[in-house]
Amino acid sequence: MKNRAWSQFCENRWAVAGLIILGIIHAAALFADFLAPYSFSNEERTYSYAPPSKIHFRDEQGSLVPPFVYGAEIKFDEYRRRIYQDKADEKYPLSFFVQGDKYKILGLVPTTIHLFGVKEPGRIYLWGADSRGRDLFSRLLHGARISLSIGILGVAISFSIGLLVGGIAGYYGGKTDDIIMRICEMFMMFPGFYLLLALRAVVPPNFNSIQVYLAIVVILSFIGWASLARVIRGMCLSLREREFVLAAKTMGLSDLRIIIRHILPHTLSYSLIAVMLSIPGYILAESSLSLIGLGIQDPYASWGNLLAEAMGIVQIKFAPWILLPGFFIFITVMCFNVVGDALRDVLDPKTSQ
Amino acid sequence: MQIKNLAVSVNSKKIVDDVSLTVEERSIFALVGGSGSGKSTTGLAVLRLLAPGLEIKSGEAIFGGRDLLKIGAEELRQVRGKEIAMVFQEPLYAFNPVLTVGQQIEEVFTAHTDFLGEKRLEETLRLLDIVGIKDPLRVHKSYPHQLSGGMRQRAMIAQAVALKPRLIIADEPTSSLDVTLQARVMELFLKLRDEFDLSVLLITHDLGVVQHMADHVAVMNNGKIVESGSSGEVLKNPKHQYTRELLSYVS
Repeated sequence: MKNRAWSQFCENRWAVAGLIILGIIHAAALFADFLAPYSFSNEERTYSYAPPSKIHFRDEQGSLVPPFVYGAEIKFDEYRRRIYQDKADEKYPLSFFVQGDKYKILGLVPTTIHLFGVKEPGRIYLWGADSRGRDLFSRLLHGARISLSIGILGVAISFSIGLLVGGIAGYYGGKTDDIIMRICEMFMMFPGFYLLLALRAVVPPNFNSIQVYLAIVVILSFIGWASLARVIRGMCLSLREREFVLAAKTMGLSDLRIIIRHILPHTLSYSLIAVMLSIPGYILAESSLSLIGLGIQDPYASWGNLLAEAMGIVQIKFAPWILLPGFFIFITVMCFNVVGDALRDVLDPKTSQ
Repeated sequence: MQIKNLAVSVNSKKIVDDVSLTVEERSIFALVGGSGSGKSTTGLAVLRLLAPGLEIKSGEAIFGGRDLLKIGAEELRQVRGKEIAMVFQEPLYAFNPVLTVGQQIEEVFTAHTDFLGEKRLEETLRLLDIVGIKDPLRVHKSYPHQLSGGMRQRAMIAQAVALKPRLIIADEPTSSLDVTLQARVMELFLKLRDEFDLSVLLITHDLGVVQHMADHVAVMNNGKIVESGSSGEVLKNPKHQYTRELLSYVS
């Protein structure tokens, strides 16, 4: 049966493409330190809004040479805006597995090897630089870590709460159900974004960045569990009438065990679809918070606060590459939705033809 | 186990009325009746597992010196599965479709013992062997829908006897099986009674089954026991009109 679902899923080309893209983005986030030539805070202020570096494969004579980048000559125009020009006499060969900023592989093994880079004082900006001369490519990769992990962590927490609370409400029914459902409705009553802002205001301003990160995860999960709990509750109301629940009771299993082991697994396919379709919500919520400066703080990168740089029309006009984080948010959210929709088609018998 | 004056009602209408019976040690007691006679409700009431809306109005269920209808929730949980186990009519529904048969039998050990994984597996395989399953390992790993009806019922019985309960309440254990399998499963019950020293409260509508197995029988109609006694006596010499009616369908 699992195989049938999988092959049906594979027939949906868009979903497969989405899954592959998600896989690549997540893998890139996981190995961000290694793939990125610089750390997220490595800055060189003279290179403010440096355009993407051109990688040259041929020298002036037109013969094929190992790839290199030119050094930059910085001039100012009449508005004191920087104009970057290649310095013909300064070449920095692009090399692989080079020494660079210190980091730990997966947080464990300390090393300084990066996939690619150029020798100092040359700098390589694959996708341009931001206002402080930090490499956008590196910051996007590091930002992906935060943006994607908030989605996954937030969903994990809010779904654990939602499944358990919904399971309890549905299993016991009656007064318990009434009380829990009214509480859920209270949470759902508030417009999400304002609740998000209000809760964010409660977080002390002196929190360090890790604490802020965790606070945001908790806040997002705090908002997200209620709607899931309602649906799970409805499923459990019908599941508890099934005979195997009665049989589990005659075995002397505790209520909690019956809920977790015997009832909730039946909601798995729905939950899986719901997970896929709600991760984008978390990514977007984190981005919105960071965009308005209430989320992840500089110098730490998230897609939201990277995009915050693109709020001025002047920046977009002269350094359009700073819109890239928005593009990545868009792609990721799209992929999750496409994959989630395909999963629903495959797993939910009600929507299949 | 002794049930005294049990009454169950739904919306103040009594569906089990003043039922008293005694299941003696190591005996098989058959509770017979047509559908809707209240026999299954009696069985479930003893373990306090009635569907919401059904209410125990009065009565006692004395088991091991305690009244099961009055003891606390935790004490009751300890009785369920460990001292009184239940076998259902259709094991396909009584088994959880998303867990393997083995996992579900092991649930009994999880609930009442501190056996570790390996010990649980070993015990489960031993039980499956006792109930006459040829390749316990395969059955252990199978999902309920992958087994035949007979196998499933045997596995369900294995689950019931796992902790050597003193009483098994069997609610129509053979009704979903074909005739030859019915006989085998009933033989299994007899064998297990001798092996584990347990008594069986057999809830059934099938007087043919009663004839072969039961020591005592009580006939229920409309929530009341209309006739009871040793099975030989009742079946040979039925006193009540309803019993005669039931008997006339058998032969």
